[in-house]
Parts: sequence; structure tokens; C-alpha cells
Amino acid sequence: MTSAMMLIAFTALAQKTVTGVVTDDSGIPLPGASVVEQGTSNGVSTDFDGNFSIQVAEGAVLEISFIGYKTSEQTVGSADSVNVSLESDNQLDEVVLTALGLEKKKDDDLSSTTKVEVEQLQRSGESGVLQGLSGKSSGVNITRNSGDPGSGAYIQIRGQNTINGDNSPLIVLDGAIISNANIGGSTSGVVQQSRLNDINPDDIASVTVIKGASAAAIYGTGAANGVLVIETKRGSSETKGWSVNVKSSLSVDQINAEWEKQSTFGQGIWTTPVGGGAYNQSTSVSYGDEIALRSGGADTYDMSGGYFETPDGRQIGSITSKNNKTIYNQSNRDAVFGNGYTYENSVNFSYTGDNNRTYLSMSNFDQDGIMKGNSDYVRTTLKLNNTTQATDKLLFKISSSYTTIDSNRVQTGSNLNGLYLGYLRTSPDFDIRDWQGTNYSIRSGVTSVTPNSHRSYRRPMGSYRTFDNASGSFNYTAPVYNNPLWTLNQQQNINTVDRFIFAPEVNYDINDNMTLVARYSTDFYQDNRTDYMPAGSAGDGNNGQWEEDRITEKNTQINVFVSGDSAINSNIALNYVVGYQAFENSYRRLSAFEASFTNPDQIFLNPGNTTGLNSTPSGFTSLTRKNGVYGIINLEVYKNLLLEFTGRGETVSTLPGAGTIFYPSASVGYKFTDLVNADFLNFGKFRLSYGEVGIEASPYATSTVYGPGGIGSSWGDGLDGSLYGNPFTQSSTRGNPDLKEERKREFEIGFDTRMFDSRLSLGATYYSNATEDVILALPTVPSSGFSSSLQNAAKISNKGLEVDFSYDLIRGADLNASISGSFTSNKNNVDDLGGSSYFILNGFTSTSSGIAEGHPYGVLRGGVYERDAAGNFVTNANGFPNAASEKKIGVGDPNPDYRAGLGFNIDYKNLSFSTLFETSQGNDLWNGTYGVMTYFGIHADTAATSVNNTGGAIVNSAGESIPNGASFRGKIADFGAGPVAIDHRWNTSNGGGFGDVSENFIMDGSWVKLREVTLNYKFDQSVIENLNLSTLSLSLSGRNLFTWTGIEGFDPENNLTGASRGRGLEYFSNPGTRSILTTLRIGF
Amino acid sequence: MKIYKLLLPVFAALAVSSCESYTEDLNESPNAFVVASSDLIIGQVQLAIMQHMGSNNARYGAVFSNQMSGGDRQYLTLNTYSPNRANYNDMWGDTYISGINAAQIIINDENASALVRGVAKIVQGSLYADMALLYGAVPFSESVNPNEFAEPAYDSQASVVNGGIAIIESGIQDVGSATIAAGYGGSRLSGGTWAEAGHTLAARYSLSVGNTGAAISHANQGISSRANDLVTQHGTSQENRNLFYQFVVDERQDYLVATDSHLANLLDGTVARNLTTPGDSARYASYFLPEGTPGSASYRTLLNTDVGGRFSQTSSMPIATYYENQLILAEAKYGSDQTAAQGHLNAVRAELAVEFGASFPATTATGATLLTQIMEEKYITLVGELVTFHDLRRTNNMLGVPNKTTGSTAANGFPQRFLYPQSEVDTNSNVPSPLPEFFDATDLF
Repeated sequence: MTSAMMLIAFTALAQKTVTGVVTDDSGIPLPGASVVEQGTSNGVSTDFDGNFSIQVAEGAVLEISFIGYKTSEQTVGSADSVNVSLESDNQLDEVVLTALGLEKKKDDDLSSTTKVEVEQLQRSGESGVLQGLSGKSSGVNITRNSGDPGSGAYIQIRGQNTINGDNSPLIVLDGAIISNANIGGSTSGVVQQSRLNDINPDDIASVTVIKGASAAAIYGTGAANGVLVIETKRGSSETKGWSVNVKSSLSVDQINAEWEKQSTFGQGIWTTPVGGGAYNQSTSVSYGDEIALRSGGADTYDMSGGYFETPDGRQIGSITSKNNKTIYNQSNRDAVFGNGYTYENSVNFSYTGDNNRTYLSMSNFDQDGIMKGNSDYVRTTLKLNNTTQATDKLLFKISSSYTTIDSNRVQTGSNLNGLYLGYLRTSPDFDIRDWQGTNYSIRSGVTSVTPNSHRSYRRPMGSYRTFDNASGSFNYTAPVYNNPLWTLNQQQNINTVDRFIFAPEVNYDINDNMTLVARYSTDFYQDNRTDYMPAGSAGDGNNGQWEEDRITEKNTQINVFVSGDSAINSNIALNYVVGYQAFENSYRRLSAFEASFTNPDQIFLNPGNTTGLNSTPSGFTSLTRKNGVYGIINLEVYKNLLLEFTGRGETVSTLPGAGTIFYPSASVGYKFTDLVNADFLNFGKFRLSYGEVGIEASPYATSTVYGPGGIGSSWGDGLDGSLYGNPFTQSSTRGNPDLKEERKREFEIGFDTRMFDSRLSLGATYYSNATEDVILALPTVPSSGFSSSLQNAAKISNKGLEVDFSYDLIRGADLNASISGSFTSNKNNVDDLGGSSYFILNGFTSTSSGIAEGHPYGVLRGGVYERDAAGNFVTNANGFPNAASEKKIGVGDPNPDYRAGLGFNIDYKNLSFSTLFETSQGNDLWNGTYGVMTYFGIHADTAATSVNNTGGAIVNSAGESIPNGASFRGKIADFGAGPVAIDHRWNTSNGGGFGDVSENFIMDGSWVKLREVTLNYKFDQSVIENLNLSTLSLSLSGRNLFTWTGIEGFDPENNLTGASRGRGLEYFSNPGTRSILTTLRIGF
Repeated sequence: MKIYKLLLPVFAALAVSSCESYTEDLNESPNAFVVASSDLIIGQVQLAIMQHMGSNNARYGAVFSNQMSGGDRQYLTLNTYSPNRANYNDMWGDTYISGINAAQIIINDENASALVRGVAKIVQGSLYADMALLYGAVPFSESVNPNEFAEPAYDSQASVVNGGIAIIESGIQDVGSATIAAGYGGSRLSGGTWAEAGHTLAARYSLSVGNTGAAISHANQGISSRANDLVTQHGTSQENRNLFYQFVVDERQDYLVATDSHLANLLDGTVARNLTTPGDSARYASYFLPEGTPGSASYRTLLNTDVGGRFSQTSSMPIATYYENQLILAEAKYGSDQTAAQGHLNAVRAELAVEFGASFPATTATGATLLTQIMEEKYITLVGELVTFHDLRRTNNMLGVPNKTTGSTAANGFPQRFLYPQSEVDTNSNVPSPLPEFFDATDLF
């Protein structure tokens, strides 16, 4: 008793005031940190400067904690002052965002959600957010359209699941639903942008990737492809006052893969299998004479029919004797490709006051592409965010931005006016640099002059025109394929975009446990596209073409919800959200098109330069809405058991026959850290969830309609209805008033763990989903009167495994090293296609990417050789295989077996180094370019010569004989009927790209890329302070520096048809790039 | 918790009631129409027959009949008779959907005038018969009726051709004496009267099923002069030009030529004609343009797409002509009245002499020679017309046209049919099984 009394007395006596400062590991004070005497309720918080003062006895233990830092324990000794530096522990309280944009601890997340932080996004210096996400999260597949400046990218979360519906994830930016439209993307035209890339990546604080249906379910229809929740910067919450950050970077781009053209044989036609070809100055193919055997010297011309005069006065006539031995492959290449340069400058100001925070940024991204000509992308952005705490209960938030883009695009793909089509087909003995001049044509002794004449290898004296008195218009005879320099310098494809995003939000605290949030958002853009081909361009552009497309899209949302929490009892905590959301999308496209210019002698980018018949406007309007009520209930039972239930009921304007649609989901998680109770395990959670989401029909799919007619063959010839009295016709697609939503049901199971002092974090998820009632224009029997009918007929399933991990190899004061990675394997299968066997997504009649029952989405279909039951070729009389009469579905699969990313980070003092490797394995592609280069005798492989050493005569595919011992241009092969000669005859029939067989051009497109490598140096504090700065860093990065792949000639990551659903096609698509960039960041 | 319990139902009730009205009645397309008068639709039906007779069907037919040759890329493959079902998708679909189906909408329209229905019938009947001649058995009795027959059955070739003739005959009853111009021809078709054109078409298809009596009867009421030929109209805009011109000049240079074709060889004298015709050099110049030195490897025969040429930008393409009508009569009467047959051939020759301003001497031949002369004249005169491909197969290659790859002049040495398109094979379980191949003869031929 006495001793007890004494102890109390002693304790009481020893009470003293302890003061101190709590800082982070770099010495910055932490305001609001909690300082509590262990085992008591005695505690205080640090003030704005991190200072605290607390009454405790000597020997007491103080627990100092702050969100995002490891809790520190300090025993009070004799000293009156305790200064504590808290070690950062981001992982412990890693926060992800929910689909509504609310913060949630990653440890409480019951689905597979990953968050990509700003540093990771910016490191690559990509112009677009989408490309910046590549390789940084499991479950996300990003594919670049091409290396064109400002090119878009395709994003797919957990495999494809719809045919007609939107295939982009839902994008939620600061609570606003914004567009990621990818308008365009076909086998020709220009490479388009992705609207998500309008955002300045520097303004982004983080991107949360919500992959699971259960987590996305509150958005119901529209969330079937997952959700990207983007949070933009709002200014520091810690440091008061102004801060200014400036960034300036320069990037140099180069072409990252090039085709190898042969340099042995000239333009011309191979007459006999043995003995060689003959020069021909206008043929498409390069089966001519051996260039080295020519006499040398200048070519001799016949000028009697006219000539082409270059701007410097040289005259080029019809070649009568081709003497010149010069090979122009390299000089032609250098005229087309060079270094691309990108300058990016941005500045942001942030101000933090007592009750408000403001973030203002401006950026300019100015990229000149690797293609020398009209290829650039300039993006200027402005952003203003504000957060104001008006009263204790009332908080206002505004997120707003303006983007303007000005870009020049280059024609690509299967396109006589495309860059690569003309460039790669050009014979090695043709100099493309004399591409433009004046044509003098002499007919009946009269010379007529064509200014701005377009000269290419198939029209070596340039384009020329005649005047038709009857129609009062010029008629141009143009090259068959564009000279690539004409494509780059004379054609114009101007794209301008203006975009506003405005998203205000009001938060009102109804009471301590309940908050009302009301959000409004509008995202509006106008995308103007002008395409211009001067008269003299190839193909349909021969008499000139101009087109302007004006696209506007507006996405408006109202979202009101109440969120709150309450403890049901001491062991069960409830957290809920209940809300209403309404969303409207309005879209309008208005186009004007003119062909056959009346006055072709001046660039004229407006309507009014042709007759009424050749001037055709068109348009498309759509307005869709959906609205619904949603609710989320979260329960935490005995701390470790987590339950979540979500439901949404809604109506959708595009599905009037579907009534009210309801989407439920449920998840359960269990934190087993305590159960295992092992030292190595810092955290462990097991989770299981089920969710349903949907996809709506395209607008106006419910009725059969009539419209202006016209008819055309797939070869391009046709009868335009507007020129023939504008008859009407019924749509060939039959409408379906009973359409309902496509419903995706997903089940996922996974775990998240941290081990070994949280050095290792490892999470894995297995998911299995099936989308039923997928709407497709089910091919109907053409003889029934409709070619297709929209039906809820298909079922598509995805099963996959996602793994994300990180491991801190070294943790030290000066040296830190870590490794992190992600792995995704998705198996897609089209389980049901309503009985139809194949549906084209994109591509060509000969080879396409499509869907077929029992095959993965995007499967390639192409012609194959005829084979017998044993799989051997069925050969014809000449010993060559015939084409099978039916194309084969599954000639290739463009989906990878797996994708993975692996990154390393090393920080040593002020220096940090990081790399990211990314791979895609097992994806096939159709290399149509190779096939066609084979046809033309222009690919390097076609230059091979062989000697018939078989001991007897062999024949080529046309049955022409090659005697024993004879040398010929080609190779010897055996298709099972003895040796035969593969030469121009085979290349130009079923052995080349224009034959009926494509199986020989299906290739394994697997790749490994050194996606990023970055070296960053932060200048010493002393230097910075001398300069009156707060931060200063310089970084050097490489992007896509190396690619390891079996594919030659192009970047296997590119896709001809852009961000469309068709995958795995290559046909003269513009090349990819690798880049080196330096970035300087200054903070004031 | 209490507030939450209270709030939820109120909130939900409010929201659900507003939900429906917010999304209602927005799915009527502002971009399309749900009604269209038959008078508007007939134009599309006519475009469909222009396409059927003059676009890829005609080009394939001309290559298979050796009137023309494939010269580049996919058409080189065509030249070696390498078949590919998918290539027929468009051709089949355009005819059934834009032609036969659109015509059926008009025929079913009780408010439509007799004239518009009659024109629709003449076109529809012709398309049915022609499809049967190209493909063999095709859907007829159950076609273009999707509410009842999602997968139409295939009717025999003969029954479809006869059915088509019956529809044409019914159409002739409806059109009275209306001219093509007054009968919705507009800027699309021109000629004499619909009745005359209908009779010539009915005669063509009657002959193809071996019904010479009906062929004579129809042809007697058929197209009475060259001025009354049913032909397409073309202009100078990008997509109203002659379809051969569009293909050869605008779209696919070098694909379609006539190099070493039997027709070119007949006209330039490489292969002797049965009936000596000095005027053929003028006809050659109208049809073709030689390029390069004859005999050299690079020598080519191009289609004459110049102004004045047969395939110029604005040249009309024939659908049914006086020449064909006379040659149908000549062939049909050959078995019973050779003098009359001779007369009809000579009528054609006399008219050709006027057309080309050159010498087309009359024939005096009789017997098998006369028949060969009739068919040879038809082969040459109807250049680029699908009927040539029908005749070649129907007569078991009486003319001895050589196969393009082997040179064989065997009766069945040619493609015997167009292939059922992949689109139909994929969707219609009634497609004949086993699928007939390229060289399998159709029932009638």
C-alpha cells in the first residue's frame, strides 16, 4: 500500500512538459501528427510547424503517428525535448480511389484495383496518358496506333467483351465522366488520336485502374470495360503559400524499325524465269534488270512526247535507255525520315491558403514527327482547380481545363495516297526526290503545261492534265501510287481540337457521420478534321479532294450522393453511399466533301471549288441518356471481415425495350494477418467478389430505317445515289425493338499481402467473366433481304490471372533499390455467336480480324493452301499448292498469351535510375506489307538468286522450265511434289500478298521492349538554396529504345486499324518510334 | 442510421419516377427515315440492276468468257480461275438486298402505282433469272420474306429462271406502254418502252431454259431498234461514271485488260473469224487500245476508256439491246427457219455497219456454220455483258473459246458457275450440300 502510494506520488512528481518537432525523413515538419502517451488517452497534435508540447512523466512511451508514415515509439528520458523523424511508409496506408473517386485504403479494397502514381506516369515523357500507363498495371493492355505525333492508343482492361458497344474503359476525372473517343481507325486514312490524351499528363496526380466488375458496378451500363479514375493535382495540402513548378523537356524521336528493300534489281518485268528481267519505267514491280550490269552514266531520254521539268530546270523524258546504276534506297529513305523533335514546356502554380487550395497550370507540347513533312502535334493546355472550405460544413471543389490541339497527320495504310504504300513499293533505281515539278506534254505537236506535276515511280514524267470543254473541268492523269514526298508535303490532313472540361462539386456535412455530395460535370470538345489532296494525287484524289469533318461531343453528368458511416455496435462498422446519377451524351458530326476541283492551281481549304454534283455534305447526330439510383454498403465486422454490397437500377435511352435494369454486386474480404500471426507477414487479405455490369446498344439500333441509296462494289467502283436522282433504300441491317443490355458477370478471387517488413508486396487475382446477350449485327441470310440484324445473341468470356508485386531490395539512407512487376494472362473465348460463323471487325476481305465461335476475340481469318487429310499440300500440275476455296478462321490469334512488365528503381542520394521492360508474348499478326513487298519483288528477300542444282529441270508456278544448272532469281522449294522454283510467278500469284493465301504471312508478333529507362538527378539542397529554388532536377530518359522481336521491318506493337476492335493487322502502317528525352524541373 | 433508413426509400422513389421520363423517346433516329415511298425506292432497284449487269459480275463473266483478261494482283488470280467464295459476297448481296428485296418492298406496297410495281417486277424477275443462271439453284420462293423465312430454301435453277420470266411477264402487264424515261428511268436508265425491254429480257431467259417458242414470242415484241436499247446512263462525276471505266481507270489500274483474250484475238485477226468481217478493225478500235509492240513481252491490249471508246467515262452499258434481241431470234429460229435466222443475223450486221461506219458483209451461210456465225457475232457484239458467260456454258462452248490457262477448248473447260458466297454459306443451312465447285456444271447447262 505504501509503496503503491509512493509510486503514485513519484509518478505525479515526475510529470514534466516535453516539447519537440515531428518531421518527415527529409526534415519537413509534419503538421497534425498525433503524439499519444502509450496506454493512456493523453495525447496532442502537432501544430503547423510540427511542434508539440505534452505533459508526461519520465519513462513514459510516446507513440508518434501520421498517415503515410510508420508509427514511432519514443521513451521519455531526462531530456525535455524529443525530436522525431518519421519514416515514410506509403505502402501501409496506400490509398486507391473508388469508382466514385472517393479515397479508400488499398488494404480495404475487395477487388483488384491498382493505382499508378504521377511519377510513374510522367517518367516516359509520352504525349498521352494512355501510352504512359503501358506496362504499369496488370490487367491493362495498351497498344499504340503508331509513332505518328499525337497518335492515340488502344486500351483494354481484362479482355474484350463487346462487339458494337463502347470498348474503352469509363473515364472518371475528378468525378466527371469524360470522353475517350477514338473516332476513326480503319485500314486507311490517317492515324487518329485518343481523346483521353488531350489531358496534360503533368496535371495528373494519380490514375486508379478499376478492373473488377464489382468495383465498377455503381456505373452499371457503361462500366463493363472497367473504370479509370483520374485525380488531378489540387495543390499541396501541407505547405502553405505559393509554389511554382516549371518543367521543360526536349525529346528526339527516331524510327524504330525499318523495312529492308532489295537493291539488286531495277524497276521492270521479268520476262523469262532464266535470263533476267527488263527495265520498264512505269511498271509497279521491281523484277527488272540487274542494276549493276547497266552501262553506267546518265539515262537517255526521248522528249518527243513531252517531259517533266524539275524546279531547278532539269528535264526528264521518257527513258529510252536505262544506263544509270545508282541505287536510291538510302537517299530516298533520308528524304522521308529524319529525327523528330518534341519540345514540352509547362508551368504550374499552386497556392494553399487557410481555407482553400488552388492549382493553375499551363503546358505546351510541340512535336514534329520523324516523317519529314506535314506531321506534327501541338497541344496546349490550361488547368484550374480550386478547393474551398467555405464553412465548417461546406466545401466547394472545382476542376476545370481547356485543351487546344493543332496537328498535321499523314495518310497511312491501304491507301494509294498513303506514305508507306508508295514509299515501300518504289523501285531501288528510282530517285523520289524529283517528286514535284512541271509537266510538258506534247500531243499533236502542241505542248500543254501542267503545273505542280506529281512524279512518282509509276509515272516518271509526272501527272498531267487535260481540259474538258464539255464539263469545264480539268482531268488529271496521276501516278498510281503517291510519291511519299507528295504524301508528306502536298497532302494535308489538319486536325484541330478544342476541349473544355468543367466539373464543380459541393460537399455538405449533414452531420459528423453523413456528407452530401453533389457533382455536375460537362466535357465538351470539337474535333475538326480537314483532309486535302491536291489534283494530281493518286487514286480518287487525281482531280483533287477536300473534306472537312466537324465532330462535337458533349458528356454531361449530374451525380448526387450521400455517404456516411455509423457503428452498428462495437464490432460492426457500417459505411454507405446512396446516390442518383444522370448522364447524357450528345454527338454531332457534320462533313463536307468535294472532289474534282474546278480550280486546282491553288490550295483551297473550303467548299466552293467544284460543281454541285461533286460537293456532298453529310452528318450524323445522336443523343443518348441514362440515369439510375445506386447504393453501396460496406461492413467491417470484427475488424478483419469486410463485406461490400452494391446495386444500381437504371434506365437507358438506347434500350427502350429493356425497362429498368438492375446490376447487383457483392464482395467479401478477410484480413488474415492476425490469424497467421507470423513475423514475416505484415499484412494479408483474401478477397472474393462477384459483380454485374452492362453495355448498352448503339443509338437507334431498335428500328429498321430507310435512307438515301447508292451501290458500290468492294473494288471501289460504284453508283452514288446522289448523282442518280437520290433513290431511297432500306437499311441492310434489320432493327430490333427488343434489344436489351449486354450483361457482364464477373467472379474474382485474390489476395494482397505484404511480407518481410513490408519489403515484399504481392497481390494476385484470378477472374472469370462472361458477357451474355452481346449485341451483334448477326449476319443474316442475304437472300432473306437483310445482310444483318442486331440481336442479343453472342456470349464472350474472359478468364485471367493478374499478378502485381514489388520488392525493396535495399532500404537505406542513401541507397534504395526496388523491383516491381506485373503479369497478365487473359484467355478470351467467343462462346456463342448466335450460330453465325464469322463476323469481321476490321481488315480486308482477304485477311481480317474478327470474331468466330470457339475462337478468341479478334481472331484472324485468311486464305490457306489446300491440304489433304494428313495435312500435306494438295499440289497442282506444276508442283505448287492451290488455294483452298474457303478461308480459314483462326489462321492466327492476335491476343497475347501473356503480357508482363518489370521495372527496377535505384535511388542513390540525389541520383535515381529506373527502367521498365514490357513484353507481349504469343500474339500473332498478319504481315500484309511483307506479302505485298514480296509480290512487287521489292523486299530484300526477293533479291535472292539460286542455281538449279537439283539434277534436272524444275518449273516455276506458271510451268516455265528452268534447266539444270541454270541460275534464276528466286529460291528452290518443295511443296511435297518435288523441287520447284519460287520466283516472280509465285510471288505474283498465291505466294505473294495479292494471292488468295495469307497463311504464309501470319507471323508471331511477340515482343520484349525496353519501354523506359530514366536517370534523374536532384540537385543538392545547397545548390538549390543558393539559386533561391525549392527543387531542381534534371532527367534523361529513353523510351522504346530496344525491341527484341522476330518481326522485321516494323514495330509489332503498332496496329494498322488503330484503336479499333480489329487487332493484329499490318499493312503499310506508319512506323513506330524510339525516343530520348531530357527534362528539367524547377520548383520555386 | 435512422436518417439513412428514412432517406433511402424517399430518395429511391423520387429517382425511379424521374428515371423513366429522362430516358424515354430518345431512340428515334434523327439520321434516317422510317418511311419511304415506292417511287423513291424504285431508283435503288434500278441501280441494283445496273450494278448487277455492269460491275464485278460482268468483269468476272468477261474474264471467264475470255473476252477480257485479268492483268494485275487479285485479277491475275482470277485469270487462272482460282476461286474464292468470299469474293462473291458483295455481288450476291447487292443483287438480293438492293435489287430483289427493294423490288419486293415495292411489289408488296398496295399504295404503289401499277407502273412502279411493273418496273420493279421486270427488274426483279430479270435479277432472279440471272442469279439462277450464274449460281444454279438459288432462293426464290422463300427469299426476301424475312418474317416468314429466315433461311430461304433454294429452288432449282430451272424453276427460278421460269419464275423470273413469270414475274417479268406480270410486270409487262403492269407497265403498259410507258417509256423507260417516263417509267422512273430518270438519270439512271434510258431506252424505249419498259414493255419492249421486258420482252427482250424474257426472251433472253426463255432461251436459256431452252424454250425457243417463248423466246421467239417475246423477242417478237422485244426491243425494236438500237435507239430503244435499255442502257445505263453515266456522267463525269467520280461515282456516276461507266463502271468499267471506274474500275479500269479510277480504281484498279492494270487489273482488267484484254491482252491475249479470245475476243481481242478474233477482232485483230490473230484467230480467224467464221464470218469474214472487215469492220472488225473499227470494232477493235472501239473496244480496245493496243499498247506496245505486238509480239513483244510487254505488249498489252487495254480496254478503250478514251472518249468515244466502248468503255469511256460516259459510255452507256447495255442491259438489253436490239442486237441481242435479233440474235436471240436468229438462234431460236435457226432450228425451224434458217432463212429467217440468216435474216436476223444480217439485220444485226447491217446495223453494225451503220454503227461503226465499216463493212459488215451479210452472211449467206446455212447449217452449223450459220449457227456458229450467230453465236460468234453475239460473243463479239455483246462485249462485257453477262449473257456471254451464260451463252458460253449453255452452248457447251460451241465457239471453241480457249481456256485461259490451258488453252483447252473443251466444253467444260471453263468456270461453270459463280460460287455460292461465303456470306450465304455461313448463314443459310439450306445452301446445297455438298457445295458445288467452280467447274461443276449447273443443272441447265
